[in-house]
Amino acid sequence: MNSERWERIHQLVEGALECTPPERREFVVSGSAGDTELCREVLSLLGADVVDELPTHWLGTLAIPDTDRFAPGDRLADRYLIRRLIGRGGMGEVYEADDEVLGITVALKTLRAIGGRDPSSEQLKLEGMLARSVWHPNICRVYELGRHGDDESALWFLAMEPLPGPTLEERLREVGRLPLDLALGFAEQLAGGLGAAHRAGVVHLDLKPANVLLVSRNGVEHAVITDFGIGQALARSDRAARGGRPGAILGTPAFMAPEQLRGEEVGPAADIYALGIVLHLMVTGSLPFSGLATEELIRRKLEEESPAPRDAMPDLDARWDAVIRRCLERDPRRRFARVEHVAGALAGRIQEEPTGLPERVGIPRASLPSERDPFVGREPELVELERARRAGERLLTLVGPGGMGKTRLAIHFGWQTSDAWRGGAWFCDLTEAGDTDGIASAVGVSLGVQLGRGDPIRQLGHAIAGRGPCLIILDNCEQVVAQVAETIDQWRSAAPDAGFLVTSRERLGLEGEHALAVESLPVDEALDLFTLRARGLRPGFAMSGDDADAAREIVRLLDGIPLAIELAAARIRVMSVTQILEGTSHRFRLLAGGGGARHETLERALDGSWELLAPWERAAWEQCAVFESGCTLEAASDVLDLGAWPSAPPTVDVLRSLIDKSLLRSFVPPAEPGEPIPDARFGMYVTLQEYARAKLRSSVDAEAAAERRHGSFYARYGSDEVMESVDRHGGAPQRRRLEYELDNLIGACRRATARGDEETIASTYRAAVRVLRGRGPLGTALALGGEALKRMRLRSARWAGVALDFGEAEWFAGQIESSRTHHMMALEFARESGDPRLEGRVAGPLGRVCFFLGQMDEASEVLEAGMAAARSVNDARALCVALNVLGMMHHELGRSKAALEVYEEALAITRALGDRAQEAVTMVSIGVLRQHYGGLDEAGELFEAALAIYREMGNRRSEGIARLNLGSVRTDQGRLTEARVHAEASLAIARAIGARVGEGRAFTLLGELHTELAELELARSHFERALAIHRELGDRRVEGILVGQLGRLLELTGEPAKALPEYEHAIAIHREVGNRYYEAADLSGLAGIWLALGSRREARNALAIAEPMAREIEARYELARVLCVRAELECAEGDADTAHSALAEAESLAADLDTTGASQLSGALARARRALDGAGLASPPNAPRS
Amino acid sequence: MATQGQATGLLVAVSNGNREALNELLPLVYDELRAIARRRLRHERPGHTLDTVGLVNEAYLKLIRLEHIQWNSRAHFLAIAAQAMRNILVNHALKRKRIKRGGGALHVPLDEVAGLPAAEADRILALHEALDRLAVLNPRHARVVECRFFGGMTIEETSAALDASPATIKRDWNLLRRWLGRELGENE
Repeated sequence: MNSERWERIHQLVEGALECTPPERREFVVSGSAGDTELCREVLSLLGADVVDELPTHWLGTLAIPDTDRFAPGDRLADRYLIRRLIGRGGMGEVYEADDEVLGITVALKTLRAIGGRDPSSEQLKLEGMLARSVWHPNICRVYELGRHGDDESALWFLAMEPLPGPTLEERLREVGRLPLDLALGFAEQLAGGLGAAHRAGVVHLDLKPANVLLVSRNGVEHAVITDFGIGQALARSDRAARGGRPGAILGTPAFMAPEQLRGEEVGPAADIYALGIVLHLMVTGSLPFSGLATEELIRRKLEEESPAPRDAMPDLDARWDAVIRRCLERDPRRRFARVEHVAGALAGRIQEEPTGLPERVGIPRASLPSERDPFVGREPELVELERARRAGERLLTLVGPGGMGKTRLAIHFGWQTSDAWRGGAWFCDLTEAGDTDGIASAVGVSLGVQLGRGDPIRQLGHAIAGRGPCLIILDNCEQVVAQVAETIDQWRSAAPDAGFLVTSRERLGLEGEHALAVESLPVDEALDLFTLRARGLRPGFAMSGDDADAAREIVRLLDGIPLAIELAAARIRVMSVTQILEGTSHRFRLLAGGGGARHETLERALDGSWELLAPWERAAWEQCAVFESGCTLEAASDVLDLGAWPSAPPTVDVLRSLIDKSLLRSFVPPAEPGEPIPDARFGMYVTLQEYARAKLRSSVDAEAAAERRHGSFYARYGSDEVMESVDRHGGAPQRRRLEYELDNLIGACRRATARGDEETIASTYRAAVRVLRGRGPLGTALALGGEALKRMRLRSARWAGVALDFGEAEWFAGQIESSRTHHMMALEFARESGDPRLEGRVAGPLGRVCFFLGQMDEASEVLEAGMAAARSVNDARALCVALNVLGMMHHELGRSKAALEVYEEALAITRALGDRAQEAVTMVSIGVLRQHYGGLDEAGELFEAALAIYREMGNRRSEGIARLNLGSVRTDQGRLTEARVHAEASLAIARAIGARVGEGRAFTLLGELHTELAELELARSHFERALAIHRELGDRRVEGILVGQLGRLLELTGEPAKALPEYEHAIAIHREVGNRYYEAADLSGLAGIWLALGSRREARNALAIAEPMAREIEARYELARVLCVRAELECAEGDADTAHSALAEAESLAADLDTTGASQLSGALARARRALDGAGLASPPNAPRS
Repeated sequence: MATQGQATGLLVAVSNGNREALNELLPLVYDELRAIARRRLRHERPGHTLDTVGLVNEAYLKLIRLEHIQWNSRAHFLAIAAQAMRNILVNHALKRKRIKRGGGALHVPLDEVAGLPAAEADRILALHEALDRLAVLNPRHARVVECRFFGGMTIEETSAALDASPATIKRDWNLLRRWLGRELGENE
């Protein structure tokens, strides 16, 4: 049912009621025009009794006390004793209560059901867990998301830090608006709190003055945000309850961002919007859209730009006006990239770039993991790091044993100095890297670089260089020290402005390396760490004198090792400090008095935590070690087997308890700007992972079983269903999920190979290749697939499936010949095992390889057969891939009509399938075809549409390409400003991702652009830079095109003699690589030059080749140019008739081109006409004029 | 209990489009409606039943200072009361189900919620969800049901509260009173 249908029902009911009762049925039957369901619906309404008022017996319930409210003395969840009701909000009531377990006072807020559904779900618990871990002075701490009662209708509540003070809303109602200096203070605090939360992966989604408390600290009021994460939790839980469909609007429409009102998934940008509204309200005293009914408010927000704050208050400070407007941009990508920038921009600290290129092309500014809890100590190390940075040291290595907190220190330094690195700070975890490809993979993910077919390390070097001054953090390098050293050496010389921070158990041994030993914490810092962690788990924790002595002894026994101290402090939830000391000293009696090595101390500390675990917690923790780079809640619930303990709590609660014990951590992978925050993941610091893995290994059966479950979970990612969904419209989150799981996919595939589990190999490999071929490194895909193929039974359909994916990886890696071999084998085995589906899938890739190798007949044959197979099993996707290859073949062979037909068919199929990736590819192909044959307007539209898709998919490499194509069309159309925007954006993208080809093409485009602008010197320098890049890459085809461009440029600057050799050189290269379109084009240029130099014979020779060639490949634009030169030539020879007929044909060709193509030709046409007029050869009376 | 002045001020704010004020006014009305219902049942003869219009109007007279209010603000108030009525019923039905399942350690003697048979609780919740779905199809229709059915408002009052012509509301109601009949009938 939808609104239109409901409206139709309404009309029919109304119409029927106007008829007499006997006529009604017929009226409805005829009115519903054969739609039986509609008919039935209307009749059932007409037949229903009318109900005009509430049944009176319902009203009786009004008198019954509402027991959702609690009275003083009530106890919730066996723990919280209600003292009094302190407030009531839209979500529920707030009480003051005693936490009887911890002996502190809390504020307790009940959460009302949303729309009749209780907000109970695993998701809600998970979000609550995240919200709980945010720690910032401007955020009201959430201690616990709990529930009262244990079935599905239980009541949910939050236990929070009790904060006295009025809300910002109450204050504003009292005073109207705030002076700027006061507002600035609040704005900075709000932005600070929001920023900390965003870094921890939590968004607020219901920020408004009623959720901001003004708390007095040392006589100064501070703004503190409450209800953090609840909006997000409820929204997600509601979406989950509705099967992922957008849910009811939860929140306050006046403060909600347009994307939030539309019910889309939202991220930090929605909070930035809400902050903008709060700022508006603080400084003007009114809302931007005020005095509107809700429906109207929502409509205006969705359709109109927000009114400027100065409309409400004309004398408002210009900076505030601009900052608020930027926060309130309708497109989330046009708002500030990070909420911290709002405060910086208000204070004038950050020279915010206007909504300019870097953000428009969607390159993120950094990738640092969140810091969930406060960082303790390490002052001397931080000072030393900062000193080294200022002194221009470019390679810093943090060296120390496991458990010293090197990773935390590196991340903290990254955040601390993030403003100093204009090119961002990038965190790369190398734990899973086993070789150079593994390093490339981790760094590629962090930098958002899709690795192409070239050397990934080199490409990354370019990408790092392209970011200017930036910090690259390489974490956990110990197992690949030699490879990291080699890699960094290369990158240092490629990117002179970049800094590298490495953490490792040993140093790299490079020249210029500044190594810093990270040792145990001194006692005072160790004590601070203990206290702070304890306080995090037990709010209000304070140490008595005895406790302090005990804690001092604990940290001494633990040798000041941060990880060991955190593990000990985590026990504070269930033990007193002295009890912790007893446990610790018992364990360390043998070591007391020193003498034990630090790794032994750590080992014992880990043993201590291990022994305190419940049996199911042990099982869960050791099984967690089977994951690589962490896992989602869904994966953990599926893979962890706690079946041996029927009384074990649900998985999510076990994980939560492991997090509380500091054995597991939850984190949120960094998201692109404007994207929703991804699912939280669970993982371990490397030292803990090693320990847990050793525990798992101690039971061979348990390990094998866990690996099998892990394998079959990740095998699902390779199913047809998942593979198809990632390319569909709105598949971005799914695609990203796949990317996050790459390490798990690779691990699962490797282990399946070791145990010969072919089914798991085939599925996990397919999924891994899907990720790797998009973002690289392809070496990983090749190594993994090569190993798998060796272990599998030859000639089976599964072998063929893996061979197909392997061949794809080879194709993308540029190993064309061997890709052909694997595809051929896949085809053969697919046919042998009678698998038409697989045969259809092989056809496209194999056809493409054959075509590339010039084996046209073979390509056609494979494609025809494969397309027939795909049609027979209705595999539209495979069919479409094959059609695209066929279209490419036709295009390249100059059969433009056939190409267009094939492409159009492919486009129709992709649209029906909803396969966005293929749709974009096809549109680009058609666009290139159209552009070549003069259809510039259509080409422009197609490229625009493809660009929109690539942006939506977050595929930056393709976005860069689409922008290049678009820039080129816009140049041809003379829309030079637009062309320039696209050219510069594609250059920025190419540099950021280290795509040298793209960089070269962007320079080419800039050269063409400046040629049009008659800035010929600039144009030449761009062409030369492009030429240098393509020569370096060994790309002869493009080299030829560029040499031709330089020829044309010299022709334009009036240096025909210099242009001549360039054209000849270009033509030779075109012939060598079989580039007929450009050969025709440059031949016509060459003919023009010869003519200008007075050598008609040479000109005629050139035209004799160019003209039939242009006709054959149906290049109308080039043919028209050739004919213009021909007209000039014949005119010089005195053959008026031939000259006139050539000109007439050129003019009629020009008339067939669209307006912009024709205007491009007008210069050549005019010259030909002038030549005819000048020679006194009058035009025939009926010659067409354009 | 809230003062008249507070509720009146909030109602003026709501009439001027302030959604925040609605969030504050709603609980006041919610409480007042329940207090009136309790009082009436206590003082009136057994067997005497409540009626929606009477309840809502009494709440209005109790909470609002009439001299400060324009006529259409009354309609806004009634619409809020209608919403509160819906909330009261839904919360109660939820609680009834909670008790039935034996969940929750709520300190409520069973007989206190016995007022509503479990089947009725299901009907209330089913209607509530159907109304949510209706709100997607046509938001005004959901509001009309709320005003007319839950709030006992007249066509004219509904028309003023929803800012639509009485003819429109009347047409809507012709459909919706049947829709209600069907939705409530189906669960019997």
